Amino acid sequence: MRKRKDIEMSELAQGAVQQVVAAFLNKHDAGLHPAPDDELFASGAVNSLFAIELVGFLEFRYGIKFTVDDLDLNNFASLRRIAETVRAKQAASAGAA
Amino acid sequence: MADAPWTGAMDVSPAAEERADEVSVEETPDAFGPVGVVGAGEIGLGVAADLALNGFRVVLVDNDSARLAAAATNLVKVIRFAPMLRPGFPTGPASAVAAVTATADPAELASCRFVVENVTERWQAKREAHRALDAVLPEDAVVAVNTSSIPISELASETVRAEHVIGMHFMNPPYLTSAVEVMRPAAASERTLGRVETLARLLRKKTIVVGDFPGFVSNRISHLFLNEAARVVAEHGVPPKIVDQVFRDCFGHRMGPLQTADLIGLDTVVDTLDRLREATGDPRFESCELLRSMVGEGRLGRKSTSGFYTYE
Repeated sequence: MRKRKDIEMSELAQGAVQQVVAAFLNKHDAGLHPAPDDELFASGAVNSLFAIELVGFLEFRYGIKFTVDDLDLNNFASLRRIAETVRAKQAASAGAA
Repeated sequence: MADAPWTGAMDVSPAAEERADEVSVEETPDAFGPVGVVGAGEIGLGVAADLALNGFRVVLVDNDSARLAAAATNLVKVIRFAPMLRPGFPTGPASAVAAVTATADPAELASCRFVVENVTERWQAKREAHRALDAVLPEDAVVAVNTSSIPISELASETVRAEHVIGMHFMNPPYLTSAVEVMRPAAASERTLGRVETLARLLRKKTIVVGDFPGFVSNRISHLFLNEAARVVAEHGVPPKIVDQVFRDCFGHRMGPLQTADLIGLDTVVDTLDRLREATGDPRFESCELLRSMVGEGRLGRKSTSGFYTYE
């Protein structure tokens, strides 16, 4: 079982990832201010090709590498999903190290 | 333009429905045989990726050793994202990468009865590539010229296979687009058009047949607004994302013109405008100073680190 402190840390880290991604989206399109659960691709807020830039940015920013299985638009559907995907990847690579 | 004149008016081909019964319905990528892809630049790699993901074996040829060396890595990059952006490919990414053989030797195309030529948008380069193909291809092999501005009839007349040469304009990235613009010159045979239609169907694409005139339908029109969008940035200081936002949000376009220019590659945009300027004699196609200076600085768009936008 995870300790309360770990859960709080994890929520904090997720919030930080969401902020970084929100800033990246904003750079792409000044009018974009999505809420954490707003659909990014399904809503048409961003073009699906933007996923390539987003994934490239996340890999560069967080030093992670997504596998083909990770590359599913559902994993990048909203700010919250993106943050969960990044954190899971970071945890997996930390565990593997 | 002395070395690449456009001849005559539009060649209107008969409607696809009239030939539907001549097309083999059950043909598979295996039966179709390996497809040659000449040119491992941005669009050539995209075409190779699309073919491989759809179950074709591909022979990818480029005479530039640096580009060929980078092809394997770049191909993985392209193929990696395809299933995410367009689910449902019959071939997985690893098998797709393995289905592509990259080589500097055009002789390896001898087994291909269909070739997509993606050489840079310059007349001399295209002509040399087609002469090299004549030396190695089976007599009845179909050669599809992937171009946005080179006259197909003139290129075909430089070859020994004019009836097997046709234009096929793939949009970037090919795996994501649901149609291909087909330019049929007067000399191209029914069989040639039939092979193109079969290939397109196996790539899950529609064909839209247009005439063989400068810029065809797509670029004759699109490059005017790509150029004009760059002028709006240069002359009025409008940020690129604002220009693009108007096209996306007001017109409902999937992408704005400057995003599109970055995706095509600004060098290719300038080359295409040059070809259109030469072919039509129309100063509207004169590429604007901003585009030229960005190309001079190596800011080519998505394939480099920056264009109208920055890429990490």
